[in-house]
Amino acid sequence: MIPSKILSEMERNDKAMDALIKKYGDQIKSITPKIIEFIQRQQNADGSFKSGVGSAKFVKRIMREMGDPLTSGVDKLLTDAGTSALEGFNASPGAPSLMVGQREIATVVSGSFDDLTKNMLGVSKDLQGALKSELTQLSLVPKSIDTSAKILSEVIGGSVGQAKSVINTGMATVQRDLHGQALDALPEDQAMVLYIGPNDGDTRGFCGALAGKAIYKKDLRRLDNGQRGASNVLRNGGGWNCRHRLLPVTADFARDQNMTIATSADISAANNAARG
Amino acid sequence: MADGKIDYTALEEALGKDLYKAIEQALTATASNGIAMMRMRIEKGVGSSGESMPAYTPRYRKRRKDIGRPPDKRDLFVSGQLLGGIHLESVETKGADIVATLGIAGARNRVLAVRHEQTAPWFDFTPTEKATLTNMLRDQLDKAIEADHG
Repeated sequence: MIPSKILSEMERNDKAMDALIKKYGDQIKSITPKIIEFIQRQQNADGSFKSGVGSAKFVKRIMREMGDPLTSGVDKLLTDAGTSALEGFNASPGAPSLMVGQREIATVVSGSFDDLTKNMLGVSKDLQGALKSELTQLSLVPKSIDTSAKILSEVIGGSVGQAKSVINTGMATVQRDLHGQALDALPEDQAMVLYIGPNDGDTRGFCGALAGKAIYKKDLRRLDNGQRGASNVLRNGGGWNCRHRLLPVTADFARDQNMTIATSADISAANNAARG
Repeated sequence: MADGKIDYTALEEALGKDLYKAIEQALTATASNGIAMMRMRIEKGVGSSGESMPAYTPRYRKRRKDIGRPPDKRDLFVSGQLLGGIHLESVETKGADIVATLGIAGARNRVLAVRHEQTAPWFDFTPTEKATLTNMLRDQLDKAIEADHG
């Protein structure tokens, strides 16, 4: 159980972080295009980074681009919290490092979530640009999705709820793309995904039919979530606001862990549920 | 392989120029399986010690109940953004080693991850998971040798 003292400290930090981001909101907005441009210059045509761009160096450069008042303020808050999320940390000796994700930033900048906005009515280039800007910021600055949603809603001209849905889905798409990159690196005959996430009252029928099951990569193209603008199951799972992820696993691992393998009947059940 | 140790010389002879690629692929597969293993464990409310993670505060339990999440189990899941952000960041050479690094996408998620780690350690593999992953990696490398030698 979290001691109440730590809990109140966490809440205080959250409020301070959002206040800081609000204070430097205009600065963040104005420098984000520069950051995107800088990151694009460090990439090869295939999206990989040029050699010699070390993670710490890369992030420090971005932090410099963002400006001292903002980065020193965020750094101070994170130091107060006992760590720095901006430059990585070791959770405990021997634990995997938590690094600022070059891969994440590259995926955001590549605009893999652009499909989300293509089918939205009345969508403009402004929305695509604003979404990319917000997602880039969310990968670098620990601001809340709510804050991003408020900014994006002004661009969309819609509700904060709609904007939150777009951002949530965009973030999840980036995360699924990261998983997809690892999936592509697995041998074809071993490549599977574990459809992981909750099966509760909010779960769509499509996701409920697949949750907890391992699916062969070759079978993914047979899945149809029926979601306009978010129909790529590998990228969007069950669609807008989906909480599920498709984690790459090997067929040997799925067998060893006694995972349930999705059958043709499961795929049909998911597709039928999506059709309502 | 003898005495549970990987015979790198045999591996090099067997795989020649493809050694790095074989290890990289084996590590990618092992790390991916490791992420899935970690997620399945956290779904059960179990931390990196192998023990159940401590309960949430009464106030947060009430909030979780209100939003339809199980209140009594610390599973680090509300929107799915934190756990969904765990990914394989890189597989690269560092000195004489080839290292797989896991990352968490989203700056806010990284802050949350640290806070959870300070209260209830979760972002690591349990001793049992480490043993399973080590055996998995060895099996994959053995298979790579067998495939080359028929």
